Amino acid sequence: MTLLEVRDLCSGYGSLQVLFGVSLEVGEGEVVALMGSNGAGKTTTLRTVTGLLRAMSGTVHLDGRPVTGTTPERLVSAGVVMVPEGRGMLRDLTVAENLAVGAYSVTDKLQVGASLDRVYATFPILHERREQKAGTLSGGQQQMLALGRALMASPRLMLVDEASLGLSPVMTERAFSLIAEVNRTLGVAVLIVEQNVLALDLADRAYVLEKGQVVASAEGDAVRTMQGRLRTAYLGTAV
Amino acid sequence: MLSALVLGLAYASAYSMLALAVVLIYSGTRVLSLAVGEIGAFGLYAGLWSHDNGLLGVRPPVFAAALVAMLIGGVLGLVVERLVMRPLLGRPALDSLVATLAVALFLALLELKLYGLDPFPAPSPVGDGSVEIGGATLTVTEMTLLGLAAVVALGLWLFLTRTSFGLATRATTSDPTVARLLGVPVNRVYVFSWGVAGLLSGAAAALLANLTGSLTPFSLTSALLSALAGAVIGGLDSLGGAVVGSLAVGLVNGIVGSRVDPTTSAGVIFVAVLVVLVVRPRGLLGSARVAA
Ligand SMILES: Nc1ncnc2c1ncn2[C@@H]1O[C@H](COP(=O)(O)OP(=O)(O)OP(=O)(O)O)[C@@H](O)[C@H]1O
Ligand SMILES: [Mg+2]
Repeated sequence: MTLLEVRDLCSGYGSLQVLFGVSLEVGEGEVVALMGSNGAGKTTTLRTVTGLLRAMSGTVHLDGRPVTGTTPERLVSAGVVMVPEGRGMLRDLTVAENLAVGAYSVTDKLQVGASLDRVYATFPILHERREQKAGTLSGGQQQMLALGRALMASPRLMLVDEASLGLSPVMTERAFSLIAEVNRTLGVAVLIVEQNVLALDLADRAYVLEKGQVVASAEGDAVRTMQGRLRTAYLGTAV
Repeated sequence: MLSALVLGLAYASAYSMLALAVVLIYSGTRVLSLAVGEIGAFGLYAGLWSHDNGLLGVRPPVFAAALVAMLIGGVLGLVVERLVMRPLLGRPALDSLVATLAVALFLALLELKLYGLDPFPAPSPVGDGSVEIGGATLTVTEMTLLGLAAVVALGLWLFLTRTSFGLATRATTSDPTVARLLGVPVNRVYVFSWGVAGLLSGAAAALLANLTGSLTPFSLTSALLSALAGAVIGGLDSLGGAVVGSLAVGLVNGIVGSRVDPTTSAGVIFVAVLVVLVVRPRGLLGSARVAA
């Protein structure tokens, strides 16, 4: 069953059109990579899917039900959480408070407690720093907080926008392996948006976005072939 | 000296409520609201009028005027958010600023039309009593104000730090877009902020009118200027800063105002504002985004 289905999505800012008919799918429990260079429209795609931006045309379906033009709040309740570009720290709030905000849509206190235990078990450093302001964390720690905070909503799908941005190669690898671990152990589907071709290591399926259009897609073993091609093409510079 | 100090603190209490209202709205929406003075004044007029003229055959006691002011102020805050501010979300800050000024002027002129220019008497609900402490005369009104302001500030602090919706409010303050992406209903936070700001405005109107003994159109807008000075000095998005800044402004008003004269104290305050804007634009406790 397809979890998220995006069809012919057109979107942009005011009269500036950025997406020209983007289509992609994420299945239950899958990791899907959306690759593209600077300004390709990756973030715009995520913003339109979550309802931060209004689609000019096209549709978004979740579990086969239309959610085009929804609000981010409603999408979170439906099990889709976005980890924004730049990690979206609530800087003046503590680590623990950031996590609590992540659970805002969950009404079941027991469930929140269980999620919190799980997040602290996965990211022990967050437990250690729980009373510290999020703005004082290092880039890598912030990325962990961003992922952990998204998990607090017990999502079925996470949309992760350039987790590698501003991280060292070592921390990038760390972040990717954490995303893989979250997918494996919790069964959370992930749409991972990246310039870094290493993200393709995790992907069951991948799309390449160029100037607001999907210009290539691959599945299974073909993802490795795509990785080789992208590595030598313009994206290779990002590695 | 002591009585000047207490008088200053009493003014500071009223200013701090207006400053808290300003900061509450500013930190969620980045809108500087010039309406939060007159909103409460409008409510207090209604409260004092019903005390004088009776309402449905009963004459509510004078302390009820303060409650009416808070109630009407709160409702007015909600209405202004929904009808005026919401459509302007995402527009340049100047549009919203001008809109709040228009609301303030509209309300003040409506007060003028309904109740005239003569000061509307505002008797103190706790009477005119006073006590001597160390040779200084402190009125019961002043001391009640201090207590009330402390309770209000404490209540707001508890709400923000101990409740789930308070956390949502602080998350929205920190970054509205991120808050939305995490499932926080930011529109509800905005409505609520304006509602609470209206409530605070009503309380501030009642406190100030009790200090001066009367209410006139624009009197709360002029007090709002002092409160704004306090908020800018303290940091426009810091609730703690609002209280600290207002205390400073109130104390200068009370001490310099009574020792030298009110014009000098106003001069001192606005020079302080200029110094803060030049040297530390985010204010004493504000976040870096204020200056951005
Ligand atoms: N708020 C905005 N207003 C106007 N144009 C925008 C806005 N945000 C992005 N754009 C434009 O939309 C296009 C796509 O931007 P987008 O942020 O979606 O790219 P991206 O693939 O996420 O790139 P990056 O890797 O740099 O994050 C770019 O040409 C950009 O200039
Ligand atoms: Mg981007």
